[in-house]
Amino acid sequence: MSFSDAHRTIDAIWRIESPKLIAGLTKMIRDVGLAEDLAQDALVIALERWPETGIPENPGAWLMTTAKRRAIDLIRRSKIRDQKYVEIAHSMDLYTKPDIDNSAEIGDDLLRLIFMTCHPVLSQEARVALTLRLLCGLTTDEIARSFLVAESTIAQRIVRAKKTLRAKQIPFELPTEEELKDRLSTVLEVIYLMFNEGYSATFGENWVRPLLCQEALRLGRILAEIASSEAEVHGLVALMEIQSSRLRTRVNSQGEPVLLMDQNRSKWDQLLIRRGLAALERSKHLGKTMGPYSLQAAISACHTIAPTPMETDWVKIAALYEALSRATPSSIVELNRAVAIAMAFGPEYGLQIVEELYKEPALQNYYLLPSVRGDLLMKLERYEEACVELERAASMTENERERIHLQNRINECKEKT
Amino acid sequence: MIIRYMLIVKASKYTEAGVRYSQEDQEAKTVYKRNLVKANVLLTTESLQPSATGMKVLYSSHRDEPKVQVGPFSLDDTAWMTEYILIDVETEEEALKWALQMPVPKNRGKFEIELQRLEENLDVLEGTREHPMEHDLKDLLSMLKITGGADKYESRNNSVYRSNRTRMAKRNL
Repeated sequence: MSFSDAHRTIDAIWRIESPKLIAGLTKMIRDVGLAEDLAQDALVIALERWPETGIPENPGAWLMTTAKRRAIDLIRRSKIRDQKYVEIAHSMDLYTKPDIDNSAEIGDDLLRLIFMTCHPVLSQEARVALTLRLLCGLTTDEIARSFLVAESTIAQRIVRAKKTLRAKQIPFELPTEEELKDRLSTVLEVIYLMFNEGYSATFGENWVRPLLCQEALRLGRILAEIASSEAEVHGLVALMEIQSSRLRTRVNSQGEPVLLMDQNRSKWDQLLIRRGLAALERSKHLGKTMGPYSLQAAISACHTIAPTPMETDWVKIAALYEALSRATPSSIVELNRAVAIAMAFGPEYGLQIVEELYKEPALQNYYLLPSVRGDLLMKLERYEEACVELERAASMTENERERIHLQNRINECKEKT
Repeated sequence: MIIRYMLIVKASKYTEAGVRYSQEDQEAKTVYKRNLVKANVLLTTESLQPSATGMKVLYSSHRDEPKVQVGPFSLDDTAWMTEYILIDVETEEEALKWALQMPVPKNRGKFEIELQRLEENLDVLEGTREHPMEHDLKDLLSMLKITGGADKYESRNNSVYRSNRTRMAKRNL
C-alpha cells in the first residue's frame, strides 16, 4: 500500500469512525471539546503507524483504545484531582471490542451527540458547523469551503460552540418527551443537510462523501425508532431511503451525472425503495397533514414506482408540489412545480408559473429562471425565444458544468431554427 | 445569531510618518487583543503599512482605462487604514463595546475607529431545501426534454391532461 493510498484509506475510516469515537469519549469524559481533541490525537497516531503496520482489522476499536489511553494519560499528567476523572480513569475499559454487539448503544451515543450538537443554545450556524465537524468528520477547511466562508470563521464558531456547551453544562442526554418535538425539528434539518452534503458530492472527486448519506440515513433510522410518533421523522427517512436507492445510477462510469430520465431503473436499489415506501406509509398513518419532508418523499416515490419515465403520474406530482409550495413557499419549489405542471397539463401552463416568478425582484439574477423558461419554450417549439432565454441563463451562471449544459441546449435550439 | 464586524483603525499623520506606538501603548494593545482572544471574539487582525507603499487603481467609469496612482496619499481625500480587527460577536452592542475598549494611544491627536459589519452568508439552513430541489429540477427538466419528441408520449400526456380536466370539471359541477 503506497503512502498516499494509506492516507486515503485512513481518511475514509476517520469519516466513519470519528463520530462514534467522539460520542463514546464524550459519554466518558462529559466534554465534547476534549473528546474531539482525544479522537484527533488517536488519528494522528494512526496516521503515523498505519502506513507501516497496515490497517488494523478493527480500526474503530483500535482508535477507541488509543484515544482512551490518551485520556488516561491526560488525566494523570494534568494531575486532575477531581474524583470524577479518577473514577473514569479506573473504570475505563481499555480494550474496546468490535462494535457488533453494542451497536444499539453506539446508536444511542450518536443520537445524544447529535442532540448536543443541535442544541437550541447554539446558533443555527453553530449547530450545522459543529454537526458537520463532529458527526460527519469534515475538516474545518471542508466546511468553510462548502459554505464559502473563511476557515478562521468556521474554526472560531466551532470553538465557541464547544465552549458554550461546556459553559451551559449541556448534558450528554436524550431530550425528555416534552422537549422532543422542538428539539427534533432542528435535528431533522441538520440530518437532511448532512445527507445532501453527501448526495450532492457524488460527482466530486471525493469518493468518501457518499458515506455521509449512509451516516445521515443511519441517524435518521435511529431517530425514527425513538420518535416513532413524529410523522416528519418518517418523512425524512423515507426521502433519504428513496433518494439513496438511486445513488448508484446517478453517475456514469466517467463520473458524469446521469439525470432521472436516463437512469437505469432496473438498477435502483429495491431494498431501499421498499424501506422508503414503508417509512412514507408510517408517516401518512399518523393522521396529520403531510409536512415538507413527507411531501418531498411522496414526490420521490412517484418517480420510483413508475416503471418507465413515460408512465410517471405527473398529475399527482403536480399536486404534491402544490402542497409543498404551500408548506414551504419558495421560488425553487415553484420552478419544480412549473415543470411538473408542464408535464401534467402542457408546457404553456408551466410557462405561466415561470412568468409569474419573473415579477419577483429577488429572482432577477437567478439563472434557473431563464433556464427553465428556455426549456419550456423549446418544448413549445418557440426556438428563437428559447435561444434568448438560454443564452441569458448561460451568462448568469458561474458553474462551468451548467454553462456547458446550457451551451449544448443553445446549439440544439439553433439547429432547429 | 452571530455577526462579524471589522473594526477599522484609521490612519493618522503619525501612522503615515511611521511613528511607532510607545511601549506603554503597545502593551495596552497586546492586552486588549489577548482579551479578544480570551472572549473568543477575535477572528483575525492585521496592521497595514503607511500609504507610501500603497497604490490605487481608479476607473472613472467602466469604459475608461484604469489610472494607477502610487502613494503616499493625502489623508484628506483617501480613507486609509492602519489596522483592522475582525471580530465575531452576537450583537451590535457587543461590537461597539469592544471598539470602545480599544486603548487609545496617547499624544497622537485624533484616533478614529470605524465599525463595519460584514455580509453573512452562513444562513445555510434557510437554504437546506434549495440545493436538493435544484437537483430535482434538473431531473424534471431532463424528462421534459427527452419526452418532448416522442409522439406516443405526447398523446398519452394529452390524455392525462384531458382526463384530469374532465375530473376537475366534474368536481366543479
